[in-house]
Amino acid sequence: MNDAVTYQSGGPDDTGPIRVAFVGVGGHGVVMGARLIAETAVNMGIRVAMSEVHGMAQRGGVVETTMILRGADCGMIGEGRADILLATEPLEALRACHLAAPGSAIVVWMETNPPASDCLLRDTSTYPSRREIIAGLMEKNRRLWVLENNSESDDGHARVHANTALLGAAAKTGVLPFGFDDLSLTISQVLSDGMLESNLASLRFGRQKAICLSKDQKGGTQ
Amino acid sequence: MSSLLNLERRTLLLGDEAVARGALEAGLGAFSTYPGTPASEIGDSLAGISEEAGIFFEYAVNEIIAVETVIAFSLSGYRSMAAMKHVGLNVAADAFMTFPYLGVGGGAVIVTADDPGCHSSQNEQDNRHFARMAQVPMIEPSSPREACLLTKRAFELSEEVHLPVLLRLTTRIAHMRGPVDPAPLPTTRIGAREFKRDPMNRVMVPSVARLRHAEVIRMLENAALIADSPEFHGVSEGDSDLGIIAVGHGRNLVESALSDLGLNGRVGFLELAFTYPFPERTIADFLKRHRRVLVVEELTPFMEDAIAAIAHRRGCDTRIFGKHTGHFSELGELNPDLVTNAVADLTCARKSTTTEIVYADDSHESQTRSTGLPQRRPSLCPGCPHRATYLMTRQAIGAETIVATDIGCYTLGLFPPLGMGDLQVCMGGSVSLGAALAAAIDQPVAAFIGDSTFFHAGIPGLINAVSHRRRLMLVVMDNLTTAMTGYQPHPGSPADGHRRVMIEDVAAACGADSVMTVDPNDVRSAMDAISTAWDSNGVSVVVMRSPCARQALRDGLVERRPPVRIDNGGPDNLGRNACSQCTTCIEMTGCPALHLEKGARGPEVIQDLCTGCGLCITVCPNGAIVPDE
Repeated sequence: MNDAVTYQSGGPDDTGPIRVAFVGVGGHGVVMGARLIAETAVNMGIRVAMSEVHGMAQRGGVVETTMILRGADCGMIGEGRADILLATEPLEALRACHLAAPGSAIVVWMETNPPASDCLLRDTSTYPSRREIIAGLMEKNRRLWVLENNSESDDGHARVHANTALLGAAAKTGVLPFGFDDLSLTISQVLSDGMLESNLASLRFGRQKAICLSKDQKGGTQ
Repeated sequence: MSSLLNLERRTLLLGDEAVARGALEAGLGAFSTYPGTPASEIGDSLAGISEEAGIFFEYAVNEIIAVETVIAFSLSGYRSMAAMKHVGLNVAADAFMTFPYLGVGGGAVIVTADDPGCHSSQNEQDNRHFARMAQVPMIEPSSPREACLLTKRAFELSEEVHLPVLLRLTTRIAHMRGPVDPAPLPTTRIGAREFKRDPMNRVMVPSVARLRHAEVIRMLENAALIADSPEFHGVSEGDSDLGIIAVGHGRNLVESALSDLGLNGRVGFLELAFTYPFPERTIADFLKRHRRVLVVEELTPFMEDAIAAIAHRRGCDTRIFGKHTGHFSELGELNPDLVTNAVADLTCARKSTTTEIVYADDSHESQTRSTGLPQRRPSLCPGCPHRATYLMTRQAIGAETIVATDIGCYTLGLFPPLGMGDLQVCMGGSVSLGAALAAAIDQPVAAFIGDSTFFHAGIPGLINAVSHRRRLMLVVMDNLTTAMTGYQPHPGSPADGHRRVMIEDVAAACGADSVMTVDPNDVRSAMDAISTAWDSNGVSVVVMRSPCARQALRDGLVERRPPVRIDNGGPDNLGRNACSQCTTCIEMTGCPALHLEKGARGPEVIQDLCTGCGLCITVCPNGAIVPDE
């Protein structure tokens, strides 16, 4: 169009935008998890923009990242527009599920990380029960995949990273415009050697152990 | 992860990183900054590579020093850049306003990162007005890709018009991640590296300033011609009478909305990246082709008012929509729903089911749901020395004492249970606010400031308090780093190539009546120091020094102490009083490492979080918390 201000068209497989939200609590690797999705898009020549809110994340606050694949360089997504929501924590999944579209996919790492007890003591609300969380997430025909932290890792790795495990599960939903192997390649390129094996193991863990709680397990956006 | 110096192919970069990369591609010679969200990552991404790149790099004590440093380097022939958050430009304004009078040698770019929505700031001022006030050109990128290209271009522009250029980001651009196509880095440096003596143009006495101001106006007219150049705007035509003009992040949201509403090709769209001087010819041409124009921008109607003025001057009766017509607010950030709704309102777009965005009941549901969920408030980290300082100081000064506080991690002491904060406004403000309050009211007053903030803007207030014989206790909370923005060093940080400046030496030299330095983890000594300072007349300064717990653990500066143990009276009872489940430990400290499970027998220690600092040991009325030895 011109020299300085350029506008990129979508990739060759341009069939409309895919909106992704990745949320959790500071320290859970939310930004890195979302980055791996965006890095995969860049690798594959898919247009991507990602928005991060991490002002006070280090101090135990909520971290929210959103991105648009194959759409405007916007990063932000509107109410009820996310095609897939990934969450490293169940309460944060529930807090963010207003972003998720009807019929969208939600993938949650089910290990709870309650807010500081000091907050809870002063708060009139309590941490919702597992049943409340699952019911809330599955409203509007949303398809829910859960990952339990107590599942045995087949690879025998002691620690499973929630963020990369969620990516492995997300690959099963069929919403992302790329698959398990593409994510695996990105992890190999982006992460340092010391972190590589355990994250690849977590990715496999996510693919193996994610359980779909919805009746319709078919992938793809509706 | 590859360094910004070694990008070979399309790379995903943060907006801030893209600015840094663009500066490197322009042959950046000097950089200075004071960290502040959302601009911090510009400096942080250059800090580690400046030596390799041969760039002068400095974490300045504050933003005006960063701009003054840029002035000196620019006039010496270096391409120079300073970066700061929006309120940082307030601090730098004295230098920034007169900078254009001096002109530039090497291109000079001042980056301001605004924070619509106050994600991490005390206000949401619109710094575009600074460009107009200082009469300098302004560039606003809308993505990392543009941030890189336009930063590079801004250096050239600065040299073309002999003026510093304001590069304005907002949080959503600074913290947007997107692909950037790197251009080669220059192999040779630009600039003569010599200060040419020219006092009749460089010493701003009134007689010089008057002449130089005329030159600024002349240069700005040249800039206005460049502002209309097609490289700085994009325009797409529509077949309806409606056009949209957007800047910054608004451009992305409009693109998204037009696509969602199926209006591509229906609505004309003018995207502007050169936003001061206003690209008047471009705007006028666009106005002539549209009977109605919607202006999409965040915060104040900066462009909207300019566009209305241009329409008036050109005798153009295009109706202008935006803030003044209630389509947008001056509050907060724009988001996809706000922009889509405004565009839909003006196009009467029938939203199909796939583009239906806000279901009224949905938004109600999400509101009620979000208020029904427990909040996750940011808090001081486990082991944070500020928690100990606040707890014991409140004990010494009493519940009625008014607390003037400042900007940094320790501002979080505002929240319960610590409740340490009654007044806060700006960097360094605690000292002068505290001293003035002490003169204004009969209630007791104490002031709290962080280490980096003390150096940044606290010192003049301290001298003022001493000089005017105020009575004030000032607690300087020294965790040896600028923790809130990502652990950048300050003059009092343990020396790492710089000469260390000690806060207590500065306080003594300012004439404080007493200066004490204590470790807040040493509760007895710290309590003594606080009590002594609180009871004394004049200005007393207590430096509470203990490294940031999180940084110390992260960088391996200290060995992690084992978590404390709560004796719950079980089989391994130590023969002391067991936990009475009173939850005093949680209620007094608010430490995130203490957890009370619903229906549990008492608080438990979260092993992964506890740093073993032992503060809870000192508050437990039963002596039931013990160090794990």
